[in-house]
Amino acid sequence: MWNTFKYTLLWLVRSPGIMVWSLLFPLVLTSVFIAMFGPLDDMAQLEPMRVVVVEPDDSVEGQAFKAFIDATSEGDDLLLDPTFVATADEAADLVRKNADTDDPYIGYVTLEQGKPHAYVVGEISMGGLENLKCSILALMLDEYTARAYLAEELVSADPAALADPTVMKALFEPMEATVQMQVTEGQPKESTRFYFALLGMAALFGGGVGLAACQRLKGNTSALGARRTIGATSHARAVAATLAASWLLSFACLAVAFAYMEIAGGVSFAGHEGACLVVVAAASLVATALGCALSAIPHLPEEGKNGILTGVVCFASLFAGLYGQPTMELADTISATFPAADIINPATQISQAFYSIMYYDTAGPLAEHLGILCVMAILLFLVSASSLRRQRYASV
Amino acid sequence: MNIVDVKNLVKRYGTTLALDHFNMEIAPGEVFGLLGPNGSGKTTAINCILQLLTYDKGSIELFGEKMSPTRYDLKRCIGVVPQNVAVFEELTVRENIDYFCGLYISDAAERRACVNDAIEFVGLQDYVKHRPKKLSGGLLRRLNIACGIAHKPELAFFDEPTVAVDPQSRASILQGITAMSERGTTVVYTSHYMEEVEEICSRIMIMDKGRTLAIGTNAQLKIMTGIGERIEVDVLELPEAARAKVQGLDCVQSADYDGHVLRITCGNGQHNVSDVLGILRTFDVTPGRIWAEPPTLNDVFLEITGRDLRD
Repeated sequence: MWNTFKYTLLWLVRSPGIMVWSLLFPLVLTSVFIAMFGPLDDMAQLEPMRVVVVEPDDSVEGQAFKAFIDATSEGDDLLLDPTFVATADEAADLVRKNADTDDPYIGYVTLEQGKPHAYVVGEISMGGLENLKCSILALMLDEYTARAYLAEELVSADPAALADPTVMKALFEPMEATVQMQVTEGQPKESTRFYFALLGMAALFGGGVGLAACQRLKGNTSALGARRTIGATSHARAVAATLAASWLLSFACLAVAFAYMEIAGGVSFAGHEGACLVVVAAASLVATALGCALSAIPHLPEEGKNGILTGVVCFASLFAGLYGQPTMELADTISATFPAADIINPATQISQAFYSIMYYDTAGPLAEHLGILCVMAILLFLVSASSLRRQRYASV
Repeated sequence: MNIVDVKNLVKRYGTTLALDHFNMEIAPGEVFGLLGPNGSGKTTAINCILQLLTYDKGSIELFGEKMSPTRYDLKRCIGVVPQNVAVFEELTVRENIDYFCGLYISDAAERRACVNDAIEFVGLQDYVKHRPKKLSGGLLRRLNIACGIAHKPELAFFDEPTVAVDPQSRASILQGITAMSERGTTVVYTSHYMEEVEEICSRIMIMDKGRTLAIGTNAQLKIMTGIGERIEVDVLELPEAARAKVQGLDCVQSADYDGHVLRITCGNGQHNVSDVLGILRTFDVTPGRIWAEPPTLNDVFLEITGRDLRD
């Protein structure tokens, strides 16, 4: 049995056709997704704002403003990436000269009569993110102005209050108009759903492993199959070893794609890699069973069965939302109208199993999807059982 | 006890009768030749014996026991070299032999020794790390054989093992089969090459349309069919009376003269050449070259199965 397992694994690994579809294809598609979705994800990340600052004078207001600029451009959560110049003209020139570069300034700030002013690049030439940065800059300066005014008022009205730590804390504590909360296990990204759908597709393409392995196990499909069938190893053991090798290879290929997605693609699995590997294992089992079931189709050459597998995978992936926003909406509509369509679609189940790890704080939804995948695998194996068990044929 | 005992085997493919009450008995140590035209049922018979094919009627016993698909104990004693090369393209020569040997022998150490013996037996020592697609046709056939006999079977089936093989490889394969037989292996050998069967087989069965047409040793088959030698005599002038006299001999089946050569086909007889020459002498005919060829298995085969072309 070990011998059959070992050599089945070996010949499968050395089959270029199998490895291209089971390993290389998911990696290539992941790379394409990384290239496509990387800029999208980056847009959601706010980089420090490049701004030109006119060096304030040594007055009390100037020193306070300088301290404010320094405080917002240091540390882990820095907001500003300032460049200091001596005069407003120099600042305007610098902004203009950098306007057409890859990394332009959003404008410049200066302290005029003790009050900060921001001069930003006109919004017509800017994208949405640049507008957002301008709004943030304006908000920062407004808050600075308001607090400076409040402090001045406090000094003139009740200087003794400055000795009260509560007052001082209230004065300088950052104003939190909104509080960021995270209700999901991980930080969701626009592209995450595509990656999960891709994992569903990649898993099902692993069905080619089971298909090829089962084809060469049957005595009526090739001389090789016939030779193996008449061998003295128990057929049940040969089938078990072949299926185990197929599953292991599918699992390994999908695990590599999963790791590549997480490491190179930066897809977050919320630290639940162990649970993800369980999904990968279940997905590989379904894929192996699917390949096995397809191999049971009588009177059809292997190429035809591979064609059917490709068709099934592409069709199933469509409803998992792999092919872009319109198909994702179509998938959502179908899912809402015919929930059963999701239940019988292995690609959707695999994709949603990853989802449930990411977005639920209980194991229930994950267990549900894993259960459905296991039932699917059992049904598919049952379909192929009579074909796999057969050792004698009416014709070869 | 016969090693192979097949009785009244009937196998149908739809309405086509592939084996028609086919019988076969093979004694231990025999090299049994199974001959027949294309589609005569040779491979079907072997596949039924190996339990790869279902059959409609009859019984199959190997080593004195009833054969079934799950008789792995019996299968362990059988080696098969199929007609088509059946190996893994992705595995090397050694890996292929090890894999197929592993279907019969689970002990790794024992298997390693068997694999080494098989590699040496077929002369593939220099190619152990090659993959099949890098091997020539002859080497592939030798690998095919090694995969079938590495576990040292007591009964080996060779189904046309020398198809598309060069004369050197063929000679090597035949030597190997003879060596196996000498070691006590019972061999069932099918081929279209009559001279091979004639060379190595101790007993021959000729079958057609799923039935046994003749069975016996090479000599027995020749006697059975009544085919004798073929004689050719170069003569410049042959009176018709002389030709008719030759034709009239008991041992002569036909005598044709084309103006240069007298061609005579004989039946069984002890003194065919001297009888013919005696007649020519009585007509004062001086022969030039005289050439006599004993009957071949090919003649027997064609006599038994007919000369019509097959599919």
